[in-house]
Amino acid sequence: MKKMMAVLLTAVLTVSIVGCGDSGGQSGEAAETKTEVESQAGKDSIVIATDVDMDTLHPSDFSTTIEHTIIKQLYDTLMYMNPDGAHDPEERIAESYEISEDGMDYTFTLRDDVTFHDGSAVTAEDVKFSLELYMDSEYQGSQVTGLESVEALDDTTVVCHLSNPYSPFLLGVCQVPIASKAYYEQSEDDFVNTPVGSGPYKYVGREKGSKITLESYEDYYRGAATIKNVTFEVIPDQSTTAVALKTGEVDFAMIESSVIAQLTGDNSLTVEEVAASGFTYISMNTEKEPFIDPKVRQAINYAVDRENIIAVCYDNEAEVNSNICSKERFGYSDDQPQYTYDPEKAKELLSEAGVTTPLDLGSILVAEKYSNLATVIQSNLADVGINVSIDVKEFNAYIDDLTSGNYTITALEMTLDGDTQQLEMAFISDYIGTANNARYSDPEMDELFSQARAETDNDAREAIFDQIFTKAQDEAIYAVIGNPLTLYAHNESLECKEIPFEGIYSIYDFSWK
Amino acid sequence: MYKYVAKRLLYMIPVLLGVAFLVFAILSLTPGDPGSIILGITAKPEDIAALNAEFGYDKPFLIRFFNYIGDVVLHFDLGTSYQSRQPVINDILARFPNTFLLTVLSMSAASVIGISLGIISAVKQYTALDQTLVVVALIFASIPGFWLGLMLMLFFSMKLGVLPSYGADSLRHFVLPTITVCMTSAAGLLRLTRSAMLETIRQEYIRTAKAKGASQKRIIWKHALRNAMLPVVTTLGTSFGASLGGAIIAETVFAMPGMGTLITTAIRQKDIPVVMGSTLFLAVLFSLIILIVDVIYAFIDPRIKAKYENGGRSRE
Amino acid sequence: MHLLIRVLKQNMRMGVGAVNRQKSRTREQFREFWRRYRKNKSAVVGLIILVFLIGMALFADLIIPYSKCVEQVGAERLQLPSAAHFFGTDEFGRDLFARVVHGSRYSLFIGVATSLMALVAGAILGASAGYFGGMVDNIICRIIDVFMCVPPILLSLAVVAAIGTSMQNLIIAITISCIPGNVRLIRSVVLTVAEQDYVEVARSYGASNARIIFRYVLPNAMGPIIVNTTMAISDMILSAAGLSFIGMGIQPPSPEWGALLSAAQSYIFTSPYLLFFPGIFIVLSSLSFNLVGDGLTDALDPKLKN
Repeated sequence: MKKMMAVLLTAVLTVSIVGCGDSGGQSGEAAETKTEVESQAGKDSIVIATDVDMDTLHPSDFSTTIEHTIIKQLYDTLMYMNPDGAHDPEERIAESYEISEDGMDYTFTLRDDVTFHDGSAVTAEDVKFSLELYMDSEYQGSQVTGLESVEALDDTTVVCHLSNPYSPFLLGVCQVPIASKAYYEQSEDDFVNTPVGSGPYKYVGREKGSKITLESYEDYYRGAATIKNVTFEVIPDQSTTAVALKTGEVDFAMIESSVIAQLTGDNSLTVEEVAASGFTYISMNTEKEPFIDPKVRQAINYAVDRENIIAVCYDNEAEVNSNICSKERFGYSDDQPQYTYDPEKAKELLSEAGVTTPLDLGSILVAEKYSNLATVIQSNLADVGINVSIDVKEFNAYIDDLTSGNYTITALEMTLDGDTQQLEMAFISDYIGTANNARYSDPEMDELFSQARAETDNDAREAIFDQIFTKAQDEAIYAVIGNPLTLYAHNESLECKEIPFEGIYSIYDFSWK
Repeated sequence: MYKYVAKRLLYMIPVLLGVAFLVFAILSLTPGDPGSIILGITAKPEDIAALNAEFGYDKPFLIRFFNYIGDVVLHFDLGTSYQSRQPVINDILARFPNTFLLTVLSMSAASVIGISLGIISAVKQYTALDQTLVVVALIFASIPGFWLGLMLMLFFSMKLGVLPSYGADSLRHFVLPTITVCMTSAAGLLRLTRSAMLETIRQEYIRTAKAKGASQKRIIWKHALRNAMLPVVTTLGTSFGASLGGAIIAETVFAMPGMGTLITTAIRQKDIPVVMGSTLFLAVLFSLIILIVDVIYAFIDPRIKAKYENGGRSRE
Repeated sequence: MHLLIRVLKQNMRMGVGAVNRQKSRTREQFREFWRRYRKNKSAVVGLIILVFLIGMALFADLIIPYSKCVEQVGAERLQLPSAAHFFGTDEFGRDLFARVVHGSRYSLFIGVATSLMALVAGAILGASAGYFGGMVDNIICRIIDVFMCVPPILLSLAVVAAIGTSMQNLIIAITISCIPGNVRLIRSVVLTVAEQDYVEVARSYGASNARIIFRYVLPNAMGPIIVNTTMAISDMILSAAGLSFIGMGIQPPSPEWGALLSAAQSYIFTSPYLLFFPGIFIVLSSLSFNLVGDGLTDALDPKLKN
């Protein structure tokens, strides 16, 4: 009898657990699966895959690319400025702007027909509030560097007062999403969780860890978007994203170079390659032997086979460039020196520097995701007589060692986007301990960057940057490998008018053929 | 029996405190702080410090630990995520049903397949059927999870187009992940059941039963199976933990929002409240499952039940 | 705690004595063991595969020099298997055959070392808990409960973040995460065996606890333990692969099989042979350990000794 009970108990337990589970599963909203490929004609929705979930929709306190992307759809900005800095800004919420002679005051005149998703008008007070949100933000505060105070003169006029002339200010202020002050004051929680924006799409809802849905805002001042419904789906694994693109479950996704080969062969898909300023580089600790000597750093620059590294680690989806400033950026010039693969030259430089080979350099420190880079670099260095072992660390432990200078040589990727001025983080002594990984310290370099910061004349700025990057290349402060391309794969019938430099796209520009 | 269960529930307190302390210590003593992880390498040190202060991360480890435990015990508050600034419990409740359903489905499938085939295999020991079953089970047990998952996806989602490749919207979405997770556990259960059955079949009382002329069927069902289930049931309980490991892979491959991916992401981001909250949540669940398993155990084996009721052994 | 140490010491002393006493019977026992092992045909096949793999690991340098594992030929990236490269080349232009052959050293060693370490730890803790019961059982079980409730990836991460990645650390990380399961299993088996008549008899003769545990209880609990350990070896090989997968594996360019497999994941559609060869060796090694384990279960079973 007792055995019977035991068996029964087990059975009941199993069944009841299955039962609970069932109801749990159905509670997740049952949007039917999209395995059948829908016909594209008259289609007005889009499914976009993202590899990570977004954590917040706070217009100033966000940190990831996906958050930035979604916020860009929800909120409009004062103006639109392509981040390469070459174009004049286009009007958005502000129909015109004016910069005072001394470069200290920026005056924006707003359109009067822009509304938030709740129907209320966008006023100068909202702009002031949004800019102040940025001034106080630890996350995005650097976008409005130099801004001292904001003044709303009337409903459609806003003046930004700067503490010092700061030329990159205009590009930075163009990135600030304009949010509603009244809505923020009503409820801070709603402000973050169910945002009411000023952009072409309004927030509909989300399932944590799974999806975020948006729909077009019909009263958008530039006219309602053609694609009405947008769903961001979280798919962490790249191979899965590739399959979902092929089956048509997903229409658009940012992809990694590793899956590109399997997508290019598919006629139903288009791959877009978008240039970006992020760079892959070798950082040498200039406070440690043998990298105190610029000759040794130059030798490393000649020793690495950039084409091969990009072929192996990026499946050729990167631009070879030994200059830290990418080609699209303001201040880049082909006249600035470039390093090419020349192992003989590297050996010569090493012997000139008095380095006896084979040299045992200890280890090349990398985070796990860069271990492929290290593997190729290790073999390149061995060819010129420098032996290193590879020391892989967990990412946070790696960053700890990197920023505290507890390494000799390392390889990684970095993005210092926005104005070219941002590249100062890699060079000036104030940033030793953060992004100046080479721990390079040179008063002349510090001075050049502070000149560039205050200079408002474009030609003069360009000349200063030319000096900076020529110096950086001459002294081989870093060994930059190249600029990885940002890759997007999408349904062939989706028209993506323009994905700008740096790759933060606007779904408003997309349409179905 | 009730006394035993009550005692076990009491034991859960030090265990949970131990888990909390261990996890908190691991997260706090490994390199990196939430501020610099969130703001990245280009952030200004003062911004990082300000953010850490906002999280209370500037206080010493022990103070933070006791504050945390205080909040959990006194206010039933699992804290707020550093990343999303949202209550941790929301994250857990959004994801737990998926993981639970996936785990239960795969454990049930694995038990049905593993135990029944294991019995067949044991009864037919050394026959071609036995050997085939064992070898096939072993091959499945030896295939890495992500590889199996991808293969299933390629075949069922891409080639046949009959099942979705990602998501957790309907039961259909659970088919492929369930197969992925259950294959390894099923193989393990098959072998364990087989060996436990063989073990018990050779015991004295089975021989006695045989000698008494009991039928083969009766011996298997009445005598052998019940005793053979002892190690199997233990494994079942602990397998819930292992299934969670399998679930992490399946959740990643099939883009299913679950506890596995929640915890792994949070660990990498050093989102201490999320890791703590979800680990404690799972720990409570896990301890309860183990307790239930042990109670079932006692039901199956009266000798152990007697021991529990005596309040442990006092032979020495 | 010192109780445990005492048990351990007694065991060591007793172990030597036991071996000496049994020496004369060893040969006869082995013949009996082999007769029973042969009965299980798949176990024999498993043994053959295992011997082949171990041979490959031992003579790796004679088969193909290690330098071939790390030599990168940029012009020969991602080549299909050919006469020059039996298994093709990987994304770095390295010979996959060389990497698989030398990888056997890492993978087999990791598998065997971790499961043996976990077995020893599990046996000591599990047997003590199951046999002594009461307070000892209680303390051990609670500690094990704590460890079982902490996700293995967190433990591995802690080990790796604290002491870095290397072969030893990988072994430590994997061992720690598999001890708790072992303890529980061995404890449950010992619980059952400890109740058997022959243990009662031994106890009435005044045998010491350690002697009872190691002479009577553990050998009689061997079946499930052997099954568990052999399965553990293959699990450990897979765990090492899993850790490589999340970036806490062995240092590149060491060719551990799991690392080969996870690195090849990106090429699953375009160069599937990169997954196939390391995969097949992982499956083969895992399979052979398991088959041999099955054979041993039947052959070593003390209840069959008549």
